[in-house]
Amino acid sequence: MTSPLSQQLARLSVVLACEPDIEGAKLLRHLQRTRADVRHVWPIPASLGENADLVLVEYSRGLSGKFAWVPGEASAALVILVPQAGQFHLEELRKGLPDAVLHRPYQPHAIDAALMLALDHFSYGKRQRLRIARLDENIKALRDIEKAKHFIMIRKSLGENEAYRVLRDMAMERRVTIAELAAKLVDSSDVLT
Amino acid sequence: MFGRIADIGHNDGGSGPWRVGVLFSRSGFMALIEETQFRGTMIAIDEINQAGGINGREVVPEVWDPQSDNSLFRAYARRLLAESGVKTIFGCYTSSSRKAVLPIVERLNGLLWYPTLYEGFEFSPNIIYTGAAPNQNSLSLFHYLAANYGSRFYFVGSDYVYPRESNRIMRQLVEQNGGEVVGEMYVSLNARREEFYPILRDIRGVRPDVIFSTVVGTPTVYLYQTYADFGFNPATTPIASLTTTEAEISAMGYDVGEGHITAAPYFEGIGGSSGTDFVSRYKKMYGDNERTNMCVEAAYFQVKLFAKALEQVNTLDPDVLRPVVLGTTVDAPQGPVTINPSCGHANVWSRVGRCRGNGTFSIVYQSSSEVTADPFLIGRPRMA
Repeated sequence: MTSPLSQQLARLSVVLACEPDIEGAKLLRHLQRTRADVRHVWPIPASLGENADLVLVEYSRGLSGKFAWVPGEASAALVILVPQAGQFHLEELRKGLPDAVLHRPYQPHAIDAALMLALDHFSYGKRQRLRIARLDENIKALRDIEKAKHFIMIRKSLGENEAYRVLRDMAMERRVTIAELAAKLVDSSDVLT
Repeated sequence: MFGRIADIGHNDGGSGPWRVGVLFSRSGFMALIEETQFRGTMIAIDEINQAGGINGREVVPEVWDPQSDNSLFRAYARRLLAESGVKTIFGCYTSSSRKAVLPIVERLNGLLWYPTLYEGFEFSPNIIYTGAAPNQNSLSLFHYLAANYGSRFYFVGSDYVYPRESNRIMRQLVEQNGGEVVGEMYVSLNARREEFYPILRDIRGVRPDVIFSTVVGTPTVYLYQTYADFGFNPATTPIASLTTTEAEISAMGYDVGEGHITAAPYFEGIGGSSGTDFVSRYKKMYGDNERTNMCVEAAYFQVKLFAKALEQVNTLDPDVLRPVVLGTTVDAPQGPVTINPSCGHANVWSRVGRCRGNGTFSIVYQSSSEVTADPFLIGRPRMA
């Protein structure tokens, strides 16, 4: 029976951007054995990580500028491959914003640990961002509805309940949600004032 | 979704049983209601296994009793997800237990199925909410009470987040419709009978039209019994609740419960043949005198819904299972129920019942279809 990590990897698209030396070949074989869809690229392309779920890339100066995403909007989990003799700068490493690091020489257990850590951290961050995004939308919708209601109360000299009913009826007529209608009203009233 | 579209349906390659966690209090002051959710869960699992399991594999529950203690809810959730390798948990009644478990379920990427009414204003990508949110019970309850009894309300609740938030919402409904909240009192979660005496004395002085109760667990029995001891009349001043079910009515005495009002998606006795089958199976397993209630029913249908989704994707991995759960419909005893994809909450039915002298409820209001869940009250922040 395959391990949970293997089952997870077998669903993923992986990009490996590493030197095609002995260690690099070892890493590539290890990844291919998981049944993941693995693409090996070298040198590092200008826009790394498009159409990938997981990226493994050699550390280099200026690496942070080579990704297909901006910081905070990563679309793939990231493992940075670090040189054996520790010839790297911590600050440059940090700028790459990895979810995990993997040191040469690549040992199987260390590879698995780095993959697991990277996938776990990345997916947790993604879930939290989804939750935050929903919360932001909901708060904005609530605020827009309050503002639109207040606007209608003043314009039409109505009480709160009546103003809300006007808003609701307008939304139903236009076949949009109350939140969408309220947002439009708020935007146009801001332009007018 | 994480992963390639072509791999939806990727299975976990296993042939052993599907292991799920079950986390309801079977002891302590919340056992009165949570035991019924445990039963609902187990009946559903038994039915699934008797029909051959899911894709030929048995569902095996790992059951823990958190004993009405939130720290044990946390400990067992962690144990299930981090040590037992379980990914799906059916559990929790109180909002405080759900909130206690939430960070663990989110960090360890589990899927908690939560079969209980709650105060809304929450969305977690790791919870499927199958109980009523306020727009699915508070609104219709208020409508009915204002039309039939009046709008001077007195609030009594257990002292934790759910009653306080539900009262905040009900207060808005009352006040915006020209009514008045004439009292608001909270009792401790493990309240003894005596805690209700000063409250009922106050109610006697203030003379509300309705007593709105969000008291949960065993203390519910004390509230209603004390009300009866004080000689109040439910025909003129009922206790109206979101939480008092057939289970609490059985515990307090049918004569004590008669005439009081509850809002819920399900009452025993509704639901055509699917409802009747469910009730008869429950009674066969637990005794003719045992009643089903909204919490049993939600615990039951959520397992059925889980099974329907699992059958399609053949893996318990939440990243694969959850997207399929969203939008799935199941034939629940309350009627067809769909998990609303935008918020992971069930679109449940909305009903109001008045308790009869035999401990069952007669339906005095029923929605014409499932009510779309709106946990943040975006679509209907006020009653309209």
